[in-house]
Amino acid sequence: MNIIETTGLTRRFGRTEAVHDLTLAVPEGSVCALLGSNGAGKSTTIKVLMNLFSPTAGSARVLGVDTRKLGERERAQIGYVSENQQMPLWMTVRQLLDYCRPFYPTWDRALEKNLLAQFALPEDRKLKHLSRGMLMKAALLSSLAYRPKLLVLDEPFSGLDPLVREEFVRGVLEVSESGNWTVLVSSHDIEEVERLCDRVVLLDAGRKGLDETTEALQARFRRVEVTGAPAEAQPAPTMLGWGREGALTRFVASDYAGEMTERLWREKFPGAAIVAQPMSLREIFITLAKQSRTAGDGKGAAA
Amino acid sequence: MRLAWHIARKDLRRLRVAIALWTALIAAKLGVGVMLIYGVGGRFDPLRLVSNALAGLEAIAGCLIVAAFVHGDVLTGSSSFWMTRPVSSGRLIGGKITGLAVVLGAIPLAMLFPWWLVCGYGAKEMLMASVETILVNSLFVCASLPLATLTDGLGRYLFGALVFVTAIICVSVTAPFIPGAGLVAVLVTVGGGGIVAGLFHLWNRRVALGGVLLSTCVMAAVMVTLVEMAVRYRPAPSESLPGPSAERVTLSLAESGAQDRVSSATLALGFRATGVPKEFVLGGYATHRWTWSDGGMVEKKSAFSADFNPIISGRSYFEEDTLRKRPFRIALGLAVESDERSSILTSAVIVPREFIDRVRRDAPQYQLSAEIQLMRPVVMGEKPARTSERIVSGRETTRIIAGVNGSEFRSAPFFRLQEYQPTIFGTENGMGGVGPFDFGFWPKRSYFLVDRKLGYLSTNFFSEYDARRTTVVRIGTVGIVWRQLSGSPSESFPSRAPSPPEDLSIAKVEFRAVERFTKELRVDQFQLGLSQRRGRAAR
Repeated sequence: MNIIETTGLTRRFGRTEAVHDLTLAVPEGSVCALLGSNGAGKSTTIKVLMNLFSPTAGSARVLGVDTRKLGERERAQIGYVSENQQMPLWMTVRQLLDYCRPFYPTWDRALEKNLLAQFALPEDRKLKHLSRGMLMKAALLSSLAYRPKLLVLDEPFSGLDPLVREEFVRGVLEVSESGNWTVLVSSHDIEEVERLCDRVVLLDAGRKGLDETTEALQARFRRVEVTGAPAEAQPAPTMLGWGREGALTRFVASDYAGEMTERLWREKFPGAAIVAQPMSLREIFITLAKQSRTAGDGKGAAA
Repeated sequence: MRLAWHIARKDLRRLRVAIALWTALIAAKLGVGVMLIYGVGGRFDPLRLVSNALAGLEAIAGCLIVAAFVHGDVLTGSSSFWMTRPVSSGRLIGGKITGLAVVLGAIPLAMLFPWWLVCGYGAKEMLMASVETILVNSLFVCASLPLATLTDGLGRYLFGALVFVTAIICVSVTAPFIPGAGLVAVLVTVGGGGIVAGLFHLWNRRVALGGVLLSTCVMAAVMVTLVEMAVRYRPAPSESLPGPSAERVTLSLAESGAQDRVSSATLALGFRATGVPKEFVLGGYATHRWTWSDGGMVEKKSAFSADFNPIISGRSYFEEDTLRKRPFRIALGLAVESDERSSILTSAVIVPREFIDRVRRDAPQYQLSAEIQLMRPVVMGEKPARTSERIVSGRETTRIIAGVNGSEFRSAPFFRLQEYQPTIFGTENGMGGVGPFDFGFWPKRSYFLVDRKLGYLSTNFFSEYDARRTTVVRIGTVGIVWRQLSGSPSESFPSRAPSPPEDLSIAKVEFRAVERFTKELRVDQFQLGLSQRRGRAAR
């Protein structure tokens, strides 16, 4: 079952198209990352999914319900944390939890207590007196304590120092691993997302670039260095970022398939020394972003 | 309901300081009321000013509290906390209404309850006063809610309010003589603002909120319109009671005068009425029409003021001797002197300066349609003129709060009265007085100083604020006014010397309509000044 489904989702603001024809499916239990540079349409997509914006065209369903009809029952199963969310800053942490609790029939006091201890949040301090990291943890706590089926995190790591990020990610990981939770996280902080997610959706200028599991993505991308390639050798369409420095030729292979691909390379670069190394999600993201800019038409990321 | 109360409690906790200030404001208002009722704490005018200032503050505070409630869960944008929580807009509205009901309903009612007991309210009056209090406070909600739902904080709310107020002031200043300009301003503020806000929220698919805003503001606009029309265009009594006097009474234009101001002028008209039975006085409503030979026409409506009422008199309008007040007698069995002078009716309208200039250049034809009311004075109560004496009639209580036997600047004794009554829904006060108003500006009830020893009545009453017009202070649906009665004999009894206070009593008199009929009058050439010489009565 898909917890999130969109079909041809489009959202415009005047003449600006923030999201274009986005078709997406996030299965239950997965941790999906929405990646993309600033203005790629990540937050807009999430806001449409949360019914904070309505779609201009297409449709979106969350927990099997059209987002435009999300009611209290569905919202009681969704946790949402955003860097831009306006928290009731006049409340103390305790008052925030006391206020939120009655809205959620599934609120778990024990989990609340555990998370409170884990995040080391001062219960009697007002939210407006908390640091940004503490505030985000308080928001996360108020969104985790009722064990939501879907947890949506919109740029949760912005402005957080490494220590707080670590605590934040650990908190999400621990809770999501303890149940069959679905997590959708948008970020341009790829290192943190890499630890969390098992699925990546790359957005570029409102369009979907790629959508696959991190495992598959990292399996098919390789950084390749070829020493002694023939001068007349030309890159194939799947060889991104092609460049030469003397006898050394570098590129990123976006269709690596193990022994079969390496055999093809040996045929293409006879007698050359070929070294292929796995890539991190961050490196893949940067490669695709550069490729997209080079292509210039916004479709280059569709490697 | 449980969650609505949960939301309300959250807001009440957040706004506890503001609510404490609101409570203090109501308490201060009631404190002024107590000082007015018991005649302590100084003169009427300063207390009236304080009361008015507190009433203004109360209105501002009420609107700000409504805004603060709404801004606790901002309705604009997409980053508000509640929007991502299981809180429907219907439940949010329920919570806000509950919270506002506590602050603008329960708290004021609880505080007003002892005040109403002090003022002698019965159960029915308390019920009506509660409804009135809630309705008045609901106006704060209607006025403030549209703007509050469209803004995300106090700063933008105040800026929007400033724009609105500026617009209303501009309309009022630039179009003071356009009929209904004030009404349009009110409608734009309350109704238009609400409709815009309602449509905005409907557009954003907050159906419940949009629907509530639209329906509430349309209802409020209709209510305000009806109240405004009732106040501005007080209809003539529909019941016609023609009696034997209808044929005998005749009207003639005695004199007209004008007092020019910068852009307007007050045009006063004095009419002589003959055939008015003794012991009766006249009041009424006038429709004036001036027509020029080129087809130009101006029509104005105004109230008639009766003989002894000093609202319109003096050198600024009339030649003094032409319209002298007639002595007034009430059925007290006093041996007052007979006076056969005819009754005098005066009426004033505000007109543009251009109108006066045109009348002076080119005399128009004038036509009067007068709805006349013949009233008989009935004494409602009479008490010795002593401090702390009370005259209770119906729901009104009058207390003598001070009596001074002459002073350095007064040759006659005078008395200060304090009068209060329920002014539920404003139907029985309006226009500056406690007590029902019958036609136009003239209070249906009045007070007279009676000298039984010498046998005269003093009609020379005035409020402390304005000798020609009483001013009421409304505190918690109770109307309070202080009056001063001078013991000087009226100009109708110039030969009499004032009596000492122990020989005086204070009588409360009600004027009861006995006959109502219509009279018409036409003047071929209407001129300011001595126009009576050229006019003729139509019938």
